Amino acid sequence: MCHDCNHGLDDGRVYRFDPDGELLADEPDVMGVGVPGPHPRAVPGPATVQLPVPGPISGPVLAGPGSVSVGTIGPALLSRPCSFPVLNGSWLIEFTRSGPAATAFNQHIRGPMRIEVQDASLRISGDIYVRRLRLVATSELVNPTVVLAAAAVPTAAVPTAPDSTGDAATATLTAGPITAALPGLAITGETLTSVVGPNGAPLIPSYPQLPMSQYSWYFRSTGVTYSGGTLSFSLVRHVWNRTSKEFSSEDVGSMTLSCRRSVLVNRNTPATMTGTATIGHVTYAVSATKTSNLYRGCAVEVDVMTGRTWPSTAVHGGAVRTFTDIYAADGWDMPVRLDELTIPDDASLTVAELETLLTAHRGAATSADQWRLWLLVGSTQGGLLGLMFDDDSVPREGSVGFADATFGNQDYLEPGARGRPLDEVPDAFLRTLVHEAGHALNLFHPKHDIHNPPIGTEIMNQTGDVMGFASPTNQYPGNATLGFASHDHDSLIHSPDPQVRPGWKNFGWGHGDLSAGLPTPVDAAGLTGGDDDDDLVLTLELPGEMYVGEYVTAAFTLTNTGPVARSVPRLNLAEGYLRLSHVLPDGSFARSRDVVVACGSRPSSVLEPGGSLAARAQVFYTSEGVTFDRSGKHILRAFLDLDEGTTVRSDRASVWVRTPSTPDEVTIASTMLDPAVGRALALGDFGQDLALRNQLDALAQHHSATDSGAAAALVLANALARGHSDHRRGSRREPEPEQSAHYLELAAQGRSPSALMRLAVTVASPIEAGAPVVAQALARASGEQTSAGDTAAAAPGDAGADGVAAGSGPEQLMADFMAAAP
Amino acid sequence: MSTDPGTPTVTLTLGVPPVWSLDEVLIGTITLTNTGQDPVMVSSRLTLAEGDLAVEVTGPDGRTRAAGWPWSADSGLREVTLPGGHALECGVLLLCTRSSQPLFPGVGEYVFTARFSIDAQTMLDAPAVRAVAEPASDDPARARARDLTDRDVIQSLAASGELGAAGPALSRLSGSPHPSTALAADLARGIAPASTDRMDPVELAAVMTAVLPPPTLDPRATAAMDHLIAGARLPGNAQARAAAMLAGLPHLQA
Repeated sequence: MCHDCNHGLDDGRVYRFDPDGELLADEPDVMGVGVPGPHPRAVPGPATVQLPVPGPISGPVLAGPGSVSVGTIGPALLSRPCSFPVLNGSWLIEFTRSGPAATAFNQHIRGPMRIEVQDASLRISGDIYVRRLRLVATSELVNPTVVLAAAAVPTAAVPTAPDSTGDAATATLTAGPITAALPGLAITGETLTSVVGPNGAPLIPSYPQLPMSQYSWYFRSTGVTYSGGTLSFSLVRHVWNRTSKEFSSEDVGSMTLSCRRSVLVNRNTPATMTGTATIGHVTYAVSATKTSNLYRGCAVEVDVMTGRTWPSTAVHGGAVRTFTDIYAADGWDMPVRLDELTIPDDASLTVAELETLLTAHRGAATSADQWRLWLLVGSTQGGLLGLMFDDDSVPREGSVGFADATFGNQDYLEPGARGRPLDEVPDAFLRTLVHEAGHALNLFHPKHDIHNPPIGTEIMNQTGDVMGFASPTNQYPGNATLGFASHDHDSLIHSPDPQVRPGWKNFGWGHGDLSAGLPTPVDAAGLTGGDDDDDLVLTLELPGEMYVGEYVTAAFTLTNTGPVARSVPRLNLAEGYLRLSHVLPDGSFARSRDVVVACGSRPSSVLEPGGSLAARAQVFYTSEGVTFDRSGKHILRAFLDLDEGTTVRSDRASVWVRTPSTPDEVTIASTMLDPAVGRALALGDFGQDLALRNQLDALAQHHSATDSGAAAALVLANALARGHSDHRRGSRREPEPEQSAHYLELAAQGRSPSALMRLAVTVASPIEAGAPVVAQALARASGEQTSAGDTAAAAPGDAGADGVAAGSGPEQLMADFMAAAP
Repeated sequence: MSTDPGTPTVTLTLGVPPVWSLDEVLIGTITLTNTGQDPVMVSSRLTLAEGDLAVEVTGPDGRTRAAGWPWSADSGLREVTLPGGHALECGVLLLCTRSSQPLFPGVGEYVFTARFSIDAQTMLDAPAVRAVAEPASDDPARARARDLTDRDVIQSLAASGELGAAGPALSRLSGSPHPSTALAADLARGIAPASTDRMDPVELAAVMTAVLPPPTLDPRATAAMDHLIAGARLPGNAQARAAAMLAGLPHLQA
């Protein structure tokens, strides 16, 4: 048995992790050896409870150079740095304000902290709950295992303060009915002391589950080092607004915790850490006590309709799988209590009926703060296999699997599944029930997830999509993966409590249109995952810095790096295949497209090996309105949908947006932030709005040296080169070619032909291949080239004022524009 | 570089009334049509509930919202053979997003787009359609319009069953002069629909399939289907088309 395995032992070296929790590339990869506990690729199997081995520790347990003789060194030195497996898991972390004013606050600041150690990554997140103290705080841990055993089972008293040696005070656990919760564990005495399981976790795991009303902040690591038993990390804190019930602000901080395990004394007590934290300019003393080798826990009650079957076990891929072990492999402790087996029969269940069943048949909670979920094995609802039906004011507490839903006879189904009701195909039914419970933890189908993770065969894909990967030689349900994809794994472990805890934020908060959740490490894998298509590379270029109200453009390039020609959609933001994801400075999320929605059959072009498509687009005014309407760091990423299941993603691009700082910038911004001006820049025309024309004229006349002023000039040049009819009012704007030429000239002043062309192709609406301003700019460029002998290649220093690389000459820009237009 | 000359014989269309009022439950009709001669195997998951049908709505505020079903479901592949000249049709509840938020923030012109994958390789886009939301005309209508932004009401209409505190609002909606709205509210209240006599069979089937997506064993849908089948003597007539919609089966295009 591995007890505090020395695999992954801190060997005295310094391990550094980047903001996403990944081990930096120049660090040795030694952590992958035998880090036990949850892991998305872990060998499946039930989360077993192992008894501690009392007495001497075998093997080379002392870290650092040389060995230590017990007889010659004091007790304080008889400890070693915690190994990575000891760090890994759930901790109760408590903060105490430092300094003379500390007592004035008299607060209990505590909550769960999750440290996830994987092969080459270490990520930390936590949720902090604060309450004012009247009396000395007591432990509030809720242990789902204990909760499910028997009402008389006492809660484990978990130490909250370290003793003088740095180890925890002795844990005390009253024996008795506990045996019911831990089959096979024989306890003969009245009291157990020093009960600890593997890797410094209590034998009975627990998870800090605290009142929602006390929720105060969430933190996530943004860079970690671990050396000599000292865990140091920088963090971002997201502060919860208890009124709006949303995260409202963020600040930064750092934390240093020391983790050492005694070699001889109190060996069998839960691991503890102590240290300090500075967050938002406040310094805290910090203590942490390990509560489990998993990260989160939730009690599951199952009720079954008469005549239907709960898949307590299922053989899948030659292994016996259970609901609990599938969740344990991704860090969740989900013990199942099979309760009623005779829910009255009802051949067809509506959502209203399901809500009634939830209310009528769910057992009582053991405490108001218990995380719990109700699962029903029901009959049918249309053609559905399962449903997370509970999204009311106390949402995500109930899901159902429809036992009577019946498979067809297709050849991509295993013979044993064909024509059978779902509950007669245990691994398929188990998959659906785990899937529906995943919705209750606020996970989305990948195809509906706002972060666009790839579609695959993992749990949160719809069964229909998993069947789409099946074939007569790789049949469903055998082809299904009974594990969560990395994007969902990250969310399960690190998303804030309000997102995942059943009964808190509504479905859609975190992965849907209510909120995109919080950034890394929450979504590290989802946002940094590789492209679905390895042979196509999409790049997104944006200026690194700009001010609010400044005209801004983006450059997109799609390159075929593979050996075969590829069919790809056009690169414009109007047809919906190319889009931007936009994380605003406050962490909120938006999708950006052009203001024009172009529809029709999927456009398709062939991109030869080595070939590239390039396009430019204004992103000043999009489906969001003014895209960069607030100062701070904006993060954007481009997505191009190749087909239903394949998306190419660019790297993320950051844009630092500042407030206007000069009188000219303030003047420009005050005009540009008018939505009418924004729409004119997006459409390349002002219609017949004379006031708008005057606004654009003022920008063009006084600020044409800037891209904002030049863009306004080009809108006027484009619009006045042609007429405009308003059929509703029966009015018409006649062309004004001389004025058009005047504004083109204004825009051209001080700009190379290429720079002018780069702006012109963005001012024209992406659906207007025949926009006059593009042809005018090209004609002007050709004339200049002829007279000046310009090769039309970008001159040195010919980067646009937007900071985007100069790129191609006017002819190529024209060709790119034409190729991108519908 | 060349353009793919593929000529699909299956088309997708989204039908939406050109004008509707904000106190009305907007029901669209999504249609998959085989315009060719040869039969084609297509996915029959032509519902918002199963998540393969995507309908996006761009409003007068410039924002695009995705219409959705309030709950997330698991379902398997369902396919149907679509003979040449036949169409598969289903009603679409255009009321809310996937997180039960209202789909229409105010009056004005909306652009609707729809997308559906008929198989793992082929995604179809419906031509965009435009429709104008008009303001509610009087106080009762304004009350109904407010009701349609309430989460419990939205979910009750989608679920065809009363949820939360939606009761009073559903009563008001039952009295709507718009037959589709009254029918959806009656279904949610669990009472015999009073508005069906005023409705065209296809309109009736569109509402029923929008809130009780086929295939369903719900007795309200099966009763409506039995009633329609009795009148569906001639292929291609309205009753036959409506019955096919309720059954989730193709029908011959008129």
